Amino acid sequence: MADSEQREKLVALREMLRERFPGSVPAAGTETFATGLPELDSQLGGGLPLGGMTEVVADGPSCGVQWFFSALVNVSAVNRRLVALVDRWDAWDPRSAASTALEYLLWVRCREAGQAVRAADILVRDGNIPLILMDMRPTAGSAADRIPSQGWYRLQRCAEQSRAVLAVASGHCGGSVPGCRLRLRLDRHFRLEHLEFSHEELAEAWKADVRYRGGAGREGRAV
Amino acid sequence: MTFAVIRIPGFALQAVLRLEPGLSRRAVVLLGDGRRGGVWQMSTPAVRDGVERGMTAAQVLARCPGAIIRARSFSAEESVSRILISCSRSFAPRVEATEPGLCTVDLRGVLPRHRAEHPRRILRQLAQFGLKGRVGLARTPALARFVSLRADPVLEVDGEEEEVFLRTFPLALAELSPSLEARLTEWGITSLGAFRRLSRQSVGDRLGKEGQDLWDRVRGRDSCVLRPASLPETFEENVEFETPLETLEPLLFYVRRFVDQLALRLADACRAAEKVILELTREHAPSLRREFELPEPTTRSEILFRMLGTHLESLKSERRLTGVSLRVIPCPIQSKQRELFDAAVRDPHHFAETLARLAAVVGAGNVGSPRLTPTHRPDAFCMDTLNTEEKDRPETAGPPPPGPALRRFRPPFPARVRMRDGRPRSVASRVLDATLRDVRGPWRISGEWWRQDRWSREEWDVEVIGGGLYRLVREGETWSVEGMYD
Repeated sequence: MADSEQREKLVALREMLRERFPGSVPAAGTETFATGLPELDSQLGGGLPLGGMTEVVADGPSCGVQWFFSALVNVSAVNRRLVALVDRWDAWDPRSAASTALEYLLWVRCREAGQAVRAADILVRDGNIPLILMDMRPTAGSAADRIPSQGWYRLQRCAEQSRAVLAVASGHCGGSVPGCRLRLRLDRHFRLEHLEFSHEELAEAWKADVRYRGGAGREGRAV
Repeated sequence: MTFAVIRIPGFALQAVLRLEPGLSRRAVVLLGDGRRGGVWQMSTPAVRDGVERGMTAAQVLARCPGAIIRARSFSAEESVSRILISCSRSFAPRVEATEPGLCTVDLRGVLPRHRAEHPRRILRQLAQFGLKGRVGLARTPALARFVSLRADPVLEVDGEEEEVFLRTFPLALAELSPSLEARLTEWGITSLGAFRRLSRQSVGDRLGKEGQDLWDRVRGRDSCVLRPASLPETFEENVEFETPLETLEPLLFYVRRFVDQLALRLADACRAAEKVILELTREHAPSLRREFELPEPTTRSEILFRMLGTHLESLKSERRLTGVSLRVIPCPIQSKQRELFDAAVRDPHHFAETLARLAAVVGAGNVGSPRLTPTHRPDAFCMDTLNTEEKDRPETAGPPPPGPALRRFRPPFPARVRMRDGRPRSVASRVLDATLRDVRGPWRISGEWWRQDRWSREEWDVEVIGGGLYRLVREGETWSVEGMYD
């Protein structure tokens, strides 16, 4: 069976399950978390979905994952909302966000994958922080962590209950976070000239390919 | 009934046993005046085995080989006294700490239905602290005291029942001095009811002041003025363990008891806890002390215990623990109304617990809010506590910095850089091994020349063939890849 045909059948099956069991499968949320990036918010119908996981995947180095996370930190500060960053490899630079935005950021600096997953679990269950970022991408020279699927499913269920936005940069090119509602694929590399771009200019240059899981899509292809 | 007496029978023994609940069904003997003194109090199984008051430890063991011997603990007794006063105050505000293990409560002004409900509620409260009590209610403090001696566990005797009650009250239970009891027994008086029928004059002539005082008490003519117990000024509980502790569970048991006691006393004094100080004394080692600032003052014991429990679960010590002390810094109870669109943390206590749990997972220094330090030294920052109060955060966020974010390699990767015309041409390191498409730099920066750890470096921004922006750094003759622009 061709991939596209299989995918269509899967989407149809999920829609049928959603109709038969409306309470068990949360509908595509109308509540969103605006990213502050106009084009992306327009594609997403408002922003990242509340109560769901979003995976951010880069096709190579310097595709803007770190910049995207920093932009989310800044937009949280603009909206006076707390944001948490679970940093698996302790790679985040405090100077990549406005200094005033740092007061809204809870930075969790980890040394191993187990710490990162436990920290994310604690934060998602807490329910006090609306946006939680997980940077699981390996530094070069290290292999990407293999997190068991049940770990991701547990985080997804906790995010649904707490209505938090959980954005995960997994580090696997094809995407590896099962159960995510949305996947953003970044495939445009920054160039040296981008180092002098302002935030707004970079927002125009930065592009994400939006993919939805199941029948939740408004636009874009299904995961 | 206008007075209540709340007593804890076997006060000194209960004060010790409540911290060792496993001994409640054993034969336990409490020695007065340290371990050299004679038996002061004993548990019911010890009484059944023939242990008597005044016996020495050797005699006790001879009579009852399985007996557990403990010394009196004055700190434990003080702790129980404070619990008793706080519980009694929940009945009525005028409470007298009459003697250790006994409180007298003035019920004048208390609603009748409360007089019926409160005694049992107080006993339930005492039971939560591992204490068994009795409550007696009567029209005078002295009569209430007599009633409490026969209560099981609550007994009230009003005016009409007094005579019947006293008629059957044996002198042996009346807490009389041995000489007075002996004299009355000689006269054939075996109950307080019989004593009550004597004339005051004749009792005074023959038994002196002691007899007259007893007569006044039995007749209900004693003073009804209580000396109110003062409100607690310090909120501290501590204990030295009988045997040093090696595991967490018994320590948590003590901490839980202390937290409940302190919460009760705080509520009694209309105070909340704003800071908690925990100190663990260790065998042959300095004590471990930790201060906890609460995000919001609270009187809730479960919040305090969760905070302490999270800390203790992550604590490691190579030495056994010989004691624990818990002190609460109080503050007035505050009430505040949040603003309608307040974006502060919804549940500060739960969030504080979350932060403690995160610290237990990744280490206390690895969770918090970063703050840039006032220096140009690269990657200079410190970790601070996240500010959860909406009003204390900046009103507006500044503009985000230009350019892509730098994803740092901590520590930077050493690199071998091949130069051409004074500019990097290719890089070989663990993180990348490639020829460079484009290079910008150098940017030379240095700082803190007056310090031993002065720094000076040269930075290059490079683009690799195939994609990827990196920052190269040269310090002296050493190259490293400091991060990737992403």
